Amino acid sequence: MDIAALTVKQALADLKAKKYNCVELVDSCFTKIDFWEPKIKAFISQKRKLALRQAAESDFRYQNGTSRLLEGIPIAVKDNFNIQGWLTTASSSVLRSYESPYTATVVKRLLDAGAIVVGKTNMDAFAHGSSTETSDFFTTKNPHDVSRLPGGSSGGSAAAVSSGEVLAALGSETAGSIRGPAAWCGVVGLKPTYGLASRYGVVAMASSTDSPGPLAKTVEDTAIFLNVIAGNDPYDATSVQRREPDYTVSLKDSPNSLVVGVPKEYLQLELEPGTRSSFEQALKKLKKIGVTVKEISLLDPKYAVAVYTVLQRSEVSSNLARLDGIRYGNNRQFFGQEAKRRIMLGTYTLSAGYYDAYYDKAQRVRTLIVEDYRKAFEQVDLIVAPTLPCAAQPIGSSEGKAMYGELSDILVAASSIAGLPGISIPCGYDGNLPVGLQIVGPMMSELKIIKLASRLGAELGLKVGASF
Amino acid sequence: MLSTADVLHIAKLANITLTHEEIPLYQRWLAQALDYIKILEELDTSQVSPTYQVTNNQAVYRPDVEDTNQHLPQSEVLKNVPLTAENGYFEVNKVVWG
Repeated sequence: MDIAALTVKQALADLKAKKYNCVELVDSCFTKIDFWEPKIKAFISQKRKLALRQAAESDFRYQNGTSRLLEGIPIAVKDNFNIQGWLTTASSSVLRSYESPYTATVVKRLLDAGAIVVGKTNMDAFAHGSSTETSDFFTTKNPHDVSRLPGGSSGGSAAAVSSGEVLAALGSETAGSIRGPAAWCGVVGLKPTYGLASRYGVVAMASSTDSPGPLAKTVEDTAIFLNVIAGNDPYDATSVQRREPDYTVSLKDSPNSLVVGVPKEYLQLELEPGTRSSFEQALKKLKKIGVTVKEISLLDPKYAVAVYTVLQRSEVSSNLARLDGIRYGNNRQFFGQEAKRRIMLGTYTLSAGYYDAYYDKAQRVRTLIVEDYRKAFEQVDLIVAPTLPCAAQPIGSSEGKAMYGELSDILVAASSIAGLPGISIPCGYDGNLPVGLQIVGPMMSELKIIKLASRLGAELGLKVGASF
Repeated sequence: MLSTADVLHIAKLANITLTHEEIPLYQRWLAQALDYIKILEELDTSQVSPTYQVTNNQAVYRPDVEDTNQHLPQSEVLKNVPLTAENGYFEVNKVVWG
């Protein structure tokens, strides 16, 4: 059994039809992992015996008719989500041997729905980066070309899905950390509205923008995943009060009469030619499926990058202050260079005498960005743009560049700061490297985004992942 | 440009120890980032209020009852302690001398 192209939806149908069982499915994942791991190093830890035991339980549930929404589906989870009994390192030396005493809400919901966590994936340490190169352990490689980066910070999750090691994975995004690696690894990545998926049990990075979300092989699979994780959590006071009852859509739900905006400021940036041409081809397909494409104007995204830099560093300096080496984790001498850089800048921007000039100023510009989108969504239903300005970059690209992540995330920063939902889907290739297109919508517009992404994805007809 | 003394002051506030060799590196990196974020000054925000959160949730309450789901046994709480935990206490380094 080759699971390279197997989707969550298909696997659920196959398991119900008893084409194979959950133990066999999990075993096929291990075969894939054994083949790919030496090349890409997507995982930090695995629990194979536990996965097989859960698979046997899932098989029993299929037999006695008590199967749940994701029964027996093998997934990976980014290593910044606490799972009881697992190490949760956030790819950092500080938390190298930290064992979680409890489970994050979104992971608990996945486990309660029958999903099987086969392993936890590599990331930039504390999610500080867009490459996995700031991981304190090792760099993950892009399955499409192992001399290149997978993107980040959810790079391990994206690479694990792209290579077919798992059917889907959980990631988290603060500004680009789901959409970016999804684009570079040629998979689908959904960043929900801020607050739609609970942050409880996630190693905190920038609390006002952190958003857990799925990476998968199809738009529909991300919707199936979202159905399980979305919704209010009493343990996260910033979580939303309402959600859609069902995020999955049928291709028959045509996106006709939609008006989609293309921000001209985004296309004026320096985009790699292969990225630009793939995006332009996708725009033609959008028109072909009956969508009205309209040029719009948004605030220059360089301001969003500056706002993000100030807010993220400030929140990081505050969140990482808890790592004192007394209750858990190693002491602060164990912080890597990137974490120290961010903590130092954030400490400065929050310090007496500079708070107004930096932090307060950035929060005011954030208001301008929120307003900018509000006005844009008076004219258009959704906004499309390339996800990143270029395809996957060579290993080593981020080294010594203090603003590497921020500048590569220039096309995703503004929507993250505003808390908006977005999806990245593969829209073409630059040579052998996938290119991603993002669709961004107003708060809580996931259903509309999924509908358009699903229809556009079908029209583009691209294969997802590197394993074929 | 931040002075060496500024960098050391920030490091002290952040509870981070820098080696002698690291000081000029961090001085340069901080300067690069501060230089970039200066572009925010180009925008007039005198009539704009700050956005601290985007959900518009107002004061979220929970019932004032015991939540046993969030209880952990003392052994669980102390199992990740990097120093030592004796008799159910966290052990910390001495900070007050005299």
